Amino acid sequence: MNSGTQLPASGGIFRKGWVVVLVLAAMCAGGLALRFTNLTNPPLDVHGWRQLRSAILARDYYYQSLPDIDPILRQQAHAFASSLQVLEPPIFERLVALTYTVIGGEKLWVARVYSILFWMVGGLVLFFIVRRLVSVSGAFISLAYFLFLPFANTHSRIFMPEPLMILLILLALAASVMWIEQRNWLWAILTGLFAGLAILIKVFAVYFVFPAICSYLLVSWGGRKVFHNRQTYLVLGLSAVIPAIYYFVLNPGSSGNYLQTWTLPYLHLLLQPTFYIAWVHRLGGLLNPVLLITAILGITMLPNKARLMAGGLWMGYVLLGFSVPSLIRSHIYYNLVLVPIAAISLAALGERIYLLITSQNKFWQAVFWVVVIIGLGDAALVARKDLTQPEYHGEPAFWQQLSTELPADGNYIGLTEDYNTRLMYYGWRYVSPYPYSFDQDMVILAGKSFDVSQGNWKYFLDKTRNQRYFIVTMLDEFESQPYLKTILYGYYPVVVQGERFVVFDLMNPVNPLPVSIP
Amino acid sequence: MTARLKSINFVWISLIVLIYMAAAGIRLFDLTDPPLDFHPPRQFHSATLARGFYAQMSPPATIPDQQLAVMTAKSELWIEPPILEGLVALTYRIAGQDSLWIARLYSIFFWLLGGIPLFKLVRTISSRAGSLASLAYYLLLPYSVIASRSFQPDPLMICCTLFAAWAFLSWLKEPGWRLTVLAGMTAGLAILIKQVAIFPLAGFFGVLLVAQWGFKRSIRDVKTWVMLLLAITPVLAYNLYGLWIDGFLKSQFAMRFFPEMWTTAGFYLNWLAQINITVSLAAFLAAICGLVLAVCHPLGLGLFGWLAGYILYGFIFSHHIATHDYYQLPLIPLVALGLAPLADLIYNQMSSPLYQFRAKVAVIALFSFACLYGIYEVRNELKKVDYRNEPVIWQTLGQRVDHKSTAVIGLFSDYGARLNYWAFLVPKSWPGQDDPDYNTIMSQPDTATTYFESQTAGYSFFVVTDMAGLDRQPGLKDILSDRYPVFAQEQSFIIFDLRNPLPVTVDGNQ
Repeated sequence: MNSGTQLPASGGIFRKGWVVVLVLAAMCAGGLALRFTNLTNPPLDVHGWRQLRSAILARDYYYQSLPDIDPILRQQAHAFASSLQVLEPPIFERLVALTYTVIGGEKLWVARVYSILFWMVGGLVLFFIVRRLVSVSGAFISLAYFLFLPFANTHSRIFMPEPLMILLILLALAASVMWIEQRNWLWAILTGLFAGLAILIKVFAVYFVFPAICSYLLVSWGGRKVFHNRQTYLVLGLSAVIPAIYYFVLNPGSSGNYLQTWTLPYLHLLLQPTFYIAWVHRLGGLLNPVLLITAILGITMLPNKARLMAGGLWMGYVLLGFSVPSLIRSHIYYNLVLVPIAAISLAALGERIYLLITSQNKFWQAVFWVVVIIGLGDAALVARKDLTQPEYHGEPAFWQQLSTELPADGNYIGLTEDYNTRLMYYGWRYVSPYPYSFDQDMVILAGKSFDVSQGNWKYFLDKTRNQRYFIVTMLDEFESQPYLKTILYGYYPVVVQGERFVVFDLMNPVNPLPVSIP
Repeated sequence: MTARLKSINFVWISLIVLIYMAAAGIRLFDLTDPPLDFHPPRQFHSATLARGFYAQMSPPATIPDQQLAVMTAKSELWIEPPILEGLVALTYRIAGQDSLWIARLYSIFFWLLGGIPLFKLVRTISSRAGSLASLAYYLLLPYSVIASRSFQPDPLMICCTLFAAWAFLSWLKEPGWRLTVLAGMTAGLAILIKQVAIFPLAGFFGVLLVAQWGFKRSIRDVKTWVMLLLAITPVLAYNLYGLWIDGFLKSQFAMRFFPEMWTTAGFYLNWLAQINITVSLAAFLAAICGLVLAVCHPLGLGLFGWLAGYILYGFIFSHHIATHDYYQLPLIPLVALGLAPLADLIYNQMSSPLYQFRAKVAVIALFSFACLYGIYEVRNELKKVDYRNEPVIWQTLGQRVDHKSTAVIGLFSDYGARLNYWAFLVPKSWPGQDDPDYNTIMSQPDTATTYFESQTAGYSFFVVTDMAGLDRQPGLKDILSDRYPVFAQEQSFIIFDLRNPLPVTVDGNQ
């Protein structure tokens, strides 16, 4: 194995080009078919609030582009979108909105199709990278992991920026491999462009593109050449300027807020051993513990340059975890980027085993292929179960119906699913979010105190100021927040309720409040 | 021996000792917690038998509830010959108490003992590094830690199976009479302890023998027949006695063979899911690849025979293999042995002079972390629930119904195992879903009442310990709560008094 300009040789059945094409096509077809399962299921299976947030933004852009739409609806859609916090640039949402316009309707599965395509193209790019750095058989092992890991299946269909970010990171890596090998301007521009776009789509991409490309570059060219080459500065410039325009010029302050909200309050976790254990536990559940350990071991078997690139990617992931210690455990999509990293890391060890097995006779090779088919088949079936089991087709109708049953003469605050975005998206009703019990857990984790067993009147009154109604559809939150149950049922009348919801009137308490309203 | 070699040996031996200490340490954690963490019905079956034997061994009126202990033990049908139970009872007698942790100590000891033949076997196909990884997997895999603490014959069966495999492999190299007898006897013991051991052993012996000697020589050799005789005579004798002389085994052979499951996809998926729960499917498949790399060694081939035996066993016990995780226990040594060649592959790569020192350190650190993480996971699992209050709860229940098994019918969790062991009750179980027409009958109030009365006729108490099960049967729940007073209630049980139904009101309501 080597990492020079000459393609590494491959053994076994992959010596023949048509076999490579055939197997690649079969794997892509399998990965694609799996992801199209239950395509029209509403996107509530994975981080519903985050996906519906994107859906609300896309609807706003779509309605803005429709000249004949009811202006009230357009205004309402815009108001909903404006109520959402600005995170990444809404490029994906704009693309989806444009597609709504082209196909003439707001179909949420459009976003799924895009994410799937991003992931599938990402798979092909990954295949290309590993093929150049390791071998064809290694590339197939990486691709198999990338396409058939159940976690990757469910999370590569999401209406969130992650699949696009991962595609752009992989494109940046692939372009950098070509640039570093060929040293021409075209590849340098593409490297900078893809790296910049990846960071633009989601700023955390910076943790992956820079360490990986820099390690690969330094080991290939040596420090002196790197710093004396003008192309290096072009790549650096492009990859920095593109995201900087958005994050520092168009949307200044967002990164500072993010740091203050999600990084600084949780840094103390880094000193706790339980943080690392919980992190590893989380990863084991997502990426398969055996394959995760194998991937880490596999780094050591990669060819020198590929090892440095993979090492850079792993280092980036660790830095990401250190930057957002609470989110890396609680928000599993933060770990999605580890899928291609682990996939690359598995390549060389997998290839070595494959080559050793191809030196056995046909019978034992057949045994190996049976093992491969069982492994992929089981992964595909597990993934399929994950995609079909949560059934949300009834949800839109529920929220639409609920919206019609709610009094329309005042503001709402409440505890409904996905930070009230289901009611907002499907029911066209804005409800201010009241903190969930797990939000309070996060507050406690950040070093502040909150005791749900206390009265918490001041907290409640602060949060519900200027609100007319309090709606609860997550009834189990009452058990997690007993003070809230005591306050609402003890002091406020129920104005409307159903099997899955209850609405309290905050303006007409049935008993005198023990504290004065601020 | 040079000083350097001595120092290398010292390091390897220290590592083995360290792994053994860790394995023993984690297994001894929470030792005295009652055995409800792993398949309670199966463990209480053995516990009830052992206590019964102990009561029988002891002079009359020397231990509390002696007669009840004998009576409940007699109600347990033997599955395997109660060898472990007998051994535990003997230890109870010596210790003067029937502490359940004694059985746990035996199981732990047998599992750890099994590590010796495993290590001897793996050394024939692997370097020290691979062997160490294999041993660490066998001893520290979280599932193996939990399962090897259970009062079941399985840890002893696995231990004997490994000794038999080692003896057989040694016999193939030097086919003398001493090893013939040793291999035959250890195999015979393994199969006697739990008959399913015949599958991996037959596969292992058969494939190795034919591959090494050829079919003709194998069947012409007297030692082969002697070994075979030693291996199957004990279990044949036990089965002959159990099936045709005493008859207690007849029920055990019923409801075990379901070939119709073979044609359903669910069977295979559930089987794979069970493998995943126990040894990790990824590790299992990787181990098969490892074995493919080792087929040039006799052991590698033999282990494919073991695998074939396991697969055959899965098809024969199709229901159990797809639903009972501990039926996959024979896979643990197989996977441990199969992973060794792969560990060697990585170690050999690291041993190259070009390899950087820090990479070696990283790999060793990762190996250590994986071991420690496994231990930590098990510790959390064992610490999660404390069952030490359970005996008192069930003893109270037993006292409330005066230990009269004939007076009690009910809906029990764990097939009534806790009730049986701690309350000395062998009550009748409510038929529930076992009756094919149950749902239809219970859906109509009239038929439900008639059915309930016919089933409970002559019983004084309806005991519910399976609360979730009662919630799933609203018809039964309504009858009990509407018509019968609660005689006693605690968090873990409700006793309804069937002797004093609530008075019926004029409009027909209770």
